[in-house]
Amino acid sequence: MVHVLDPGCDDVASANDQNALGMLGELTLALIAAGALRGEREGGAMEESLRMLLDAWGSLIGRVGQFGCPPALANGAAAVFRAYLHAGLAAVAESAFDDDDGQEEEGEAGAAALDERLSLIAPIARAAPDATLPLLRQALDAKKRALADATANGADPTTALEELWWLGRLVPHVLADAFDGEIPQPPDSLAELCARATHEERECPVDALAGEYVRLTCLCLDENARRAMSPRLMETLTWGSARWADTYLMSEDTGGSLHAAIFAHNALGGGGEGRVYRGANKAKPAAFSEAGGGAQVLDALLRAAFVCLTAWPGETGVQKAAASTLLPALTRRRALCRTCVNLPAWKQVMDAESVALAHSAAVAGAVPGQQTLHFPPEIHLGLSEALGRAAEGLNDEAQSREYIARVLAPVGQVLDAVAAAPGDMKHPAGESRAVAVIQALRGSVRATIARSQASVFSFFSQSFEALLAVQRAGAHSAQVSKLILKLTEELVANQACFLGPAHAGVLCRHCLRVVEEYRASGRGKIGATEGGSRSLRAERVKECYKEVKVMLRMLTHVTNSDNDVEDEETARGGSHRGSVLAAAAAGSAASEGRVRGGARVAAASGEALAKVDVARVVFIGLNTVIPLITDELLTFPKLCHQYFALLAHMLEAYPAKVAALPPDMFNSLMGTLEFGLKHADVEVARESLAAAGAMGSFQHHASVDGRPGLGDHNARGGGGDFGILARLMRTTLSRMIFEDAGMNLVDAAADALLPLMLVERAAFEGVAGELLAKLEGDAGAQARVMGALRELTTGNGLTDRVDRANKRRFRRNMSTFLTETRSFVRHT
Amino acid sequence: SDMVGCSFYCSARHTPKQAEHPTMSDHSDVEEFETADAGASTTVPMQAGSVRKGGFMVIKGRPTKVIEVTTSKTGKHGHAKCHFTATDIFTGKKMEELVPSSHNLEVPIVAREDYTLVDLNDEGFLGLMDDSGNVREDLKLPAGHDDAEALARQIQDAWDEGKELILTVLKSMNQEQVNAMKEAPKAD
Repeated sequence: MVHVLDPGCDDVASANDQNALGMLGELTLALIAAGALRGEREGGAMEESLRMLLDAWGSLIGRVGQFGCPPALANGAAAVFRAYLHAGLAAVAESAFDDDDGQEEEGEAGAAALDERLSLIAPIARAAPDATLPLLRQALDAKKRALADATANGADPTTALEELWWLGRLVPHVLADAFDGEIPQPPDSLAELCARATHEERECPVDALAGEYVRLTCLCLDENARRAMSPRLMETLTWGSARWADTYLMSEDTGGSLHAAIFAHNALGGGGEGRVYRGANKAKPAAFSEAGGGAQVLDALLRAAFVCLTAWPGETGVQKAAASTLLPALTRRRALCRTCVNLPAWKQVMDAESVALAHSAAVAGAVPGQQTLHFPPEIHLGLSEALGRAAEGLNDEAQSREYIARVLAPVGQVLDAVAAAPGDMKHPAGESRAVAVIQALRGSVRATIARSQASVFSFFSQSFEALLAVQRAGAHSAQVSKLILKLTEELVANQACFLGPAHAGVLCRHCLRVVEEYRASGRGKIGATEGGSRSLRAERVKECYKEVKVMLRMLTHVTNSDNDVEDEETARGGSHRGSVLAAAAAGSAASEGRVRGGARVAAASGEALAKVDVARVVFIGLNTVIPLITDELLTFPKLCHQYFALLAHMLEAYPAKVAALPPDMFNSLMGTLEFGLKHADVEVARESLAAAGAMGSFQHHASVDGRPGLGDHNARGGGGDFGILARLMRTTLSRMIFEDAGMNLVDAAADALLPLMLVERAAFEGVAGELLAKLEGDAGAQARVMGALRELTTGNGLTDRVDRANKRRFRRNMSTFLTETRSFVRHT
Repeated sequence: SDMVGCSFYCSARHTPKQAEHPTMSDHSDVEEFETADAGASTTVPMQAGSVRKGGFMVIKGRPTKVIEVTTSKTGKHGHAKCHFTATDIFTGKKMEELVPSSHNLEVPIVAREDYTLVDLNDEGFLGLMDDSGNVREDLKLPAGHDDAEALARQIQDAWDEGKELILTVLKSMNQEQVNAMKEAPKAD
């Protein structure tokens, strides 16, 4: 097959390869003709076979080099695509009247599975764009006319709608890749085609198809045409416009024009790679660039988004597509934001959001025919976020502040109203309003960008009291409780990294109050008979689990904001290494909001008071949350992992602070650690071992330096009970020798045991003695185990330091020891 | 402009008054609720698309808690319908309802109150004392389905053992029933 890929190699390609390609084509066409695309074939052998063949085409095309697709391959691809398009439309028309059985996920209209299939045909279409793009354009045009005809004649438009729906999904797949965290560039073959077309001074098929698609989407702007369009169709067109926009709309600022310029050069038949065509500057502005009509398209799409939000009340799918797919795409990049914020269409969206929020109590009007604008809560979340993100387009600080104030003012009003009338939340309409406003708040937090961060934080810090009032009043409502916690979590996650010490302190204090408020509400306490029925109780447990998990995540985010992590040096020397947080406290208040962590500056200990003691905040928070983590909640793996990851982090990062905790808090933490060491889940055990090792290391370094370390915390209990470190060591050893089957925890256990063993020698000897006592009566086994123990503690030149080299040695020793010992000891 | 304005809902404890239609036409940007009276009505109309899993709705005259919502359409390009699966909050009976998303349905007002159990007589009548010291004796032990009867047994047993109990009474649509029990916390 390799020969087929050489350019211009058609005539010289071996007959075998030509035959092979021809056969691939024939097979593919035959399968399609036999109906492999028809709905009932889904999941069957024909569909699977077609999938494999399309994959094969994809592989061949994928290996094509910079000179483009050789004619044989391109022709084959074009033929396949033509057949696919034809058969796909027929299949979709056939199934247009099938019942929507409710298995399609809300808001996605069965599209996810379709996307997966279409991603196989897209590269094939892209391989021969000269042939395939015009086909697509014709199809779009024809089906649009079919819809218009059906509507004009009063005929059933379902078939036309369904065909357009399918095309509406296919076209964006061909034109662009999905935004997966990175702005996608136009596919190479399409960029090349565009450059060639420009050079030949004809219409670019890529732009023509895109234009047709956008025009179709914007049909909804016409009231008459809108009546013919269904929510399902609009959902897909909205999705597709977003996908196209990410790549093509005003792409100057993402290297779009440079990318085009590179291909312009290739199109001229120039050799070499990547030399930029200097003639590009003389060309007229690229289609859909800011100067080339892009701003108008942006405006039209914004208006289309507004229509999607408002024209089909109750149709959450299309509203969600507008709020959570299209508007984010239209505010993803600075160039787009700059244009958005000045457009009347943007203000229209902003106003819609504030009106809907004001009416969010959702009680239906009794005036017939008068529909008040109402959005489900997720729409408030999406819209609010998009509105916040557009601030990216405002360079001027004063303008940015004013814009954020305008966006947040209606939210603040509703929040105040909700907070002022706590009793209302017991009423479904009041609860609905509270939920809507919290979602809107979450949206603004998630849209935190450097430019507007300070204004957003200022708004929130003035709203903390109101938020606590809402949390208190909404304690009976699972929705409100969960959302308030999520809001707090996201506030920390998004804002903390920007905050100077004073603001960080305010935020941390608020977090603790939220946690305390939750505890006081009693939500975390589920009685044995709560709910009156098993299923309702199980639901309560699940709610509780989610709430506690969110609080743990919030505390984890708090730790991530700490720029002054303790390390061994600090623990040893006792001196404070200042951070830029402290330096900022010394600086002007004006720089409060914009300070970022990073540089370290030594500061006098007096300034350390201005610093937020992040560790202390987290420990206090944990102290409140740990009692809420019942055995029942621990059966949820995610919560378990979240907790133990946080515990391990705190013990590793702040051992001195742990040592300084009051006894009840310390014991509480250690209790959970002991639990974790015995836990069946490997992840949990691993984190616990890391935490135990951290405690051991801390103690070891302290004793080497002559400091008290854990001091009284590690004292033996009354009645000869072991101290905590000895218990941790015993638990670990016991688990590794007697319980664990696999070797996947050996390294982690070794790393934990080394320091523990070194600081608790007497206890270790005690364990060794117990082990040998178990083998009483079998002198041979005793001798072997004794030897193994000796090797463990002295083999490979093991020293009494806790450093990387020694840890490596001990890991090896541990592995050998376990292999030796387990067989003897487990026998008994 | 004051977009949010006035207090919107009269507490259910008010004496019932004539329900009036909320006047939406006067104030286009302010949602007025002082006339959206809740004193007489026990339910509130809401758009079907806003009712979520975990929320409440009325099905065939019964107050229910939603355990599942799926959307489907009348034909692929028709309008969305919400299919609700819910359980009666008093009887635990499973019920279903299909409502177009843009239509309204009734949402019951559900309230919970805690009482201290001060008496339990042979006929199963409960003596319940509220925070102000008032005692009501009109409710019996829960009954009617397995979980309710299990709860009744638990209450009886705990009472017989002399424990101090707090019972939660669930109230909705003019029906009340004891729904949960916990032991009174020991004095800290």
